[in-house]
Amino acid sequence: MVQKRKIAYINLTTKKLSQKAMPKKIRTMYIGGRGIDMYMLYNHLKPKIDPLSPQNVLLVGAGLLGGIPCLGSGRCDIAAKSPLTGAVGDSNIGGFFAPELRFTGFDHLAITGKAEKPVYLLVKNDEIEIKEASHLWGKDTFETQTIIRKDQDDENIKSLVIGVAGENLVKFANILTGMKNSAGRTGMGCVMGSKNLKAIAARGTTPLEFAHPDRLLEYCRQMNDMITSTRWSKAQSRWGTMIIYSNTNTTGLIRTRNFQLNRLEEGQDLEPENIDRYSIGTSGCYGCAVHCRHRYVLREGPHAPLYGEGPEYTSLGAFGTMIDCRKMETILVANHLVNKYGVDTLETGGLIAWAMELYEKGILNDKMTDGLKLEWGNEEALYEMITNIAHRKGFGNTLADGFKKAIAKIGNGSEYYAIQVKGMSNLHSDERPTPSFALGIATSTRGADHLRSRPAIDMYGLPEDLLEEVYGGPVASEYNSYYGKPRMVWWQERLYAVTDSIGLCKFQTVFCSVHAPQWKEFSKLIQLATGVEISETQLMEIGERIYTIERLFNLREGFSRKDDNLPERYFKEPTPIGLPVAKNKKIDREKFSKMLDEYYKLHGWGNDGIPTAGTLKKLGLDKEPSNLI
Amino acid sequence: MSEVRCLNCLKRFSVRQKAETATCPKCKTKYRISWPTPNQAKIRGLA
Repeated sequence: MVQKRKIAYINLTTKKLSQKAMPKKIRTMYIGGRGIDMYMLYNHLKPKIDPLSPQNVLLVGAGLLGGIPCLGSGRCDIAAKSPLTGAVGDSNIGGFFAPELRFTGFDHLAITGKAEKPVYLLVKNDEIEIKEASHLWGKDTFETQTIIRKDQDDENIKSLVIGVAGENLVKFANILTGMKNSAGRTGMGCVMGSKNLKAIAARGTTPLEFAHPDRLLEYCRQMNDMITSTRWSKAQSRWGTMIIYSNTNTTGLIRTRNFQLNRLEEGQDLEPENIDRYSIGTSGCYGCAVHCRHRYVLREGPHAPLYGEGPEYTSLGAFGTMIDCRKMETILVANHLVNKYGVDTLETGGLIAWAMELYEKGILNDKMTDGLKLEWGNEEALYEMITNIAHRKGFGNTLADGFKKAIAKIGNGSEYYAIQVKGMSNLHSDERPTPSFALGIATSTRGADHLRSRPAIDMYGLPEDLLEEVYGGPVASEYNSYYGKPRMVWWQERLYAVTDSIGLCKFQTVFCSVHAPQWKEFSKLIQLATGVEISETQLMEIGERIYTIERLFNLREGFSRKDDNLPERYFKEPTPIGLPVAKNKKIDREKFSKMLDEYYKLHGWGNDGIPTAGTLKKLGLDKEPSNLI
Repeated sequence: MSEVRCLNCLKRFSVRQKAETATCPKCKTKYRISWPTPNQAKIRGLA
């Protein structure tokens, strides 16, 4: 393989640094990015360790194709045992960091131990330094990046940083690069904070080598044409991922007032078109021809002047529909705050929406919330709660520990209202009318999650012959149906595992468009970039291996079939409003259980959700942990 | 002309250029329309 991969080991306790070439076997079996991170996570951690102990390992992995000029190749995978869930911790971040890391000559970082005082890592061509960072501690995510650039007198440094939330060990603290690119889910910023690691800064000038550079460049051009010609990408270029809101809110597929409604009535101000009032243009991540990220300015009002980037579709739900705030300006302010402090948008919004419902039901009262009126639509309470969570102040300290601990502390029936799986909040989508989406959030290895498996094209009512061609077996065209949906989830899980491992953007594969690049195109890109032939079938098997080793990690931590479940309300409360296709829908418990059986079978797992011996052998996982790196 | 897909019955139907509203010919659901590009319509919300 032309692209030899190199890993650096950094022990922050002993300050020992070492580097090693990635063994061919690992490159072949797990490719890069998420795949190699997951191999190392399973291999490096002893079972049941405290995620905030020095024994936890923070893994940073650039994708195999990181740095090629197409399909958003700036993705970086960050993994550790999650302090939020105790399961696989893993989050994928866009921007420019991953290619910059590769320009230093490193592809993977494995960070263990805990620094005595705040530090940051400076990664340059073949060198890594542990730098003192006391002057950065307490700074927000934006300031931190600016100071590092000034300290190093280099405007081209790209950094992964944490904000005050990570320093304060908020369990869902994120890692940020630039103004909004975030590794948001599962609390990877909290793990950084626990190691007194404020930032990882990279700056490199090592050229990437490719097997067939001219042909690769031409094929990347074709890939960019392919993605930008889809209807989805054209709309996304104009209004970002927010365009999804138009369909889901109109239909009745959005959690509103936590989980009481499935559409925000009078929610017109949140329509993506309204970002035009604030936008000064769009920007993109490395290697992206779509440019879905708005740069916005608030010039008037109590929060002006304010500059931010985004928001995403998920921001509209987290700070809009779920808490019944109906103004775009609220979204923009809240989006800025979570990015500045470094907390996950989805978890923050999910917890605040839950708290608002508990407040309405009298499970929380003014005394418990320190006098804060957690009423629907109270935007000032939203801003204060975000700030209090990040600083672990007052009731914010309770929410800062995430659902599992907050439920245990509040008690009094509060668990019923929590829309979470495995301890992680769901985004604002309401999956009661869509069994495929419901199965996906239940089975995701990192908790309620749309980015592990969501077959978003299920919403389009595509012809069944086309669906069979894509998914390799019969699938019902109707998204209300349960038929064939496990197959969709299984297929998407493997595709996204590979997408995260080659380091491309999920929105530029089969997520929202059936016409986007997938196995065939990935196989060709790998061949042109590295000279290695990996067939479509082999890529699918690699995806299966990655997903299965994640499963093994969770099983080892004590998770089982009972955790592949949905909040009780999905089974009990039908959707109250929406178009006929989405109204009066709930998940049928028996059909859900059958979907789970079928899903396990497709993976080669038993009905208990445990991979069979035959499956492990077939995937080469029967001798794990093998400790090859 | 551009096409959109009805969010209720999933039927694709044509929308005339620059139209601000459109009605699904099959299920009669009426939508507000916006245009991310001059030639591509999208549903904005219910009319």
